[in-house]
Amino acid sequence: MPDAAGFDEFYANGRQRLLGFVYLLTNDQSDAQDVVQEAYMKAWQHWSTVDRYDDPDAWLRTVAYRIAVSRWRRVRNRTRAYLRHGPDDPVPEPSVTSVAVVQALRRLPDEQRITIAMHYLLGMPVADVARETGVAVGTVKARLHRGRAALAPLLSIDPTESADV
Amino acid sequence: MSDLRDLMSSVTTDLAAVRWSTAEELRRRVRSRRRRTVAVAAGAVAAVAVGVAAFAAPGQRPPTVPLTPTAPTMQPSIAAPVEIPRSVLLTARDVKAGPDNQDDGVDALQPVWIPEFMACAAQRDGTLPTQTPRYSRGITHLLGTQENRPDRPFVVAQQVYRFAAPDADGFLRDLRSAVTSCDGLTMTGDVEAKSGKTIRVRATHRWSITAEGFAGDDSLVVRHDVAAHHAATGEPVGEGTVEQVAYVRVGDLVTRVAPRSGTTLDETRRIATVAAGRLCAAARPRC
Repeated sequence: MPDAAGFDEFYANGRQRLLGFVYLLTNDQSDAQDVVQEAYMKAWQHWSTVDRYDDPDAWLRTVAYRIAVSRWRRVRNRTRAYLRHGPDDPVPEPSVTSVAVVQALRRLPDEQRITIAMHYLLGMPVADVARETGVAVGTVKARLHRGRAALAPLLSIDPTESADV
Repeated sequence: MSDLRDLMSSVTTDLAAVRWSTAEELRRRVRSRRRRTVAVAAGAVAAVAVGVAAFAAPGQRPPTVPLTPTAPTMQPSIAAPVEIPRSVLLTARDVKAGPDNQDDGVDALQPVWIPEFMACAAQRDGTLPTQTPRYSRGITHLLGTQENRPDRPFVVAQQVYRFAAPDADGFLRDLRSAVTSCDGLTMTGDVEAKSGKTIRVRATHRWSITAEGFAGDDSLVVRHDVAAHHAATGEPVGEGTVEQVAYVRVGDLVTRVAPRSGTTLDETRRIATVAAGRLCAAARPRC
């Protein structure tokens, strides 16, 4: 029997962080919330295995990313979810700052956007981002640098701000 | 001047107001899906029973399957033959991988994910197969171990789908149609060039069938080429990408075999042929 209490804790502790990550990829809060909940349902389906992983959060991010990029599938699931569960809870309006950040990130190539989201939103060290995205540490640093440079004029940030290693 | 971390904190703060389903609610949805899975299994068994009854000619032995399956059809043991056992998936030895592999899990009643057609699906509605499998199971074969992983560990990903019998045939038919209708698609977007600059490119997608009828009841290899050009100058950008993915049908099962980039057509066909042989043990009808 899977450990429900352990899953409850995993869900409660990680869902907000994962939501932020997925939101930066999908640009839509409702979509992001659907993706996150779907990912956690997958986690529960395989919880007896996932619970033993060294880094279940990394597994969950991968699952969420796969769900998120599968747009046509997501739309279909939302339709199903609507039919089964009714309309979503109303989503709070994002602030002007959030909208600006998300809009600016949309202009970045996927690999830079994911790298920025992992490092600056999830607070992952460069080495962890490198391991999870399967590239060298130097590549992650370069992507962070280029991403910041591209965002600088859009968000009035310091393009030279260095990444924590 | 803002700090990027502060801006990200604003995003996080905004999202704090989101109302979540409880963990118990998620588990209830998972249980509900599982119940539907068992119900499908029961329906499949009932269909088999009805089929046997319909085709049993006078004078032949009576069917061994009960004609009116009731309570027993809901038992998990009855559902088992409909599921896809892990033992019929490709092994590490089949694909010269290992020792690690990644179990991609099982699913039920979810659409088939066809990544090599995602670009087309995003632009052209109704081009991809719509048949929904009853079950699926997947595995990804890797090189090395978690402690000692080469730079490019991915070897091959395999998904196996079990359809209602006519849908398996229809899936490959519709896939062939998708190759024709998607071929030549162009998309424009921003990419990171080797120089580090972000540039606008126009990508041309070509899809073709490079092999057919080499394994199982039906089979094909779909080739997807992407060539990118600078949107303004028309100059080539990068070297382009080529991927070849094999699809094989064995009875009511369809497998998608996606080897790593650079795998030859012959090797792709070989792996897909091995996969077809392994599926025989779980296919209906068996081969």
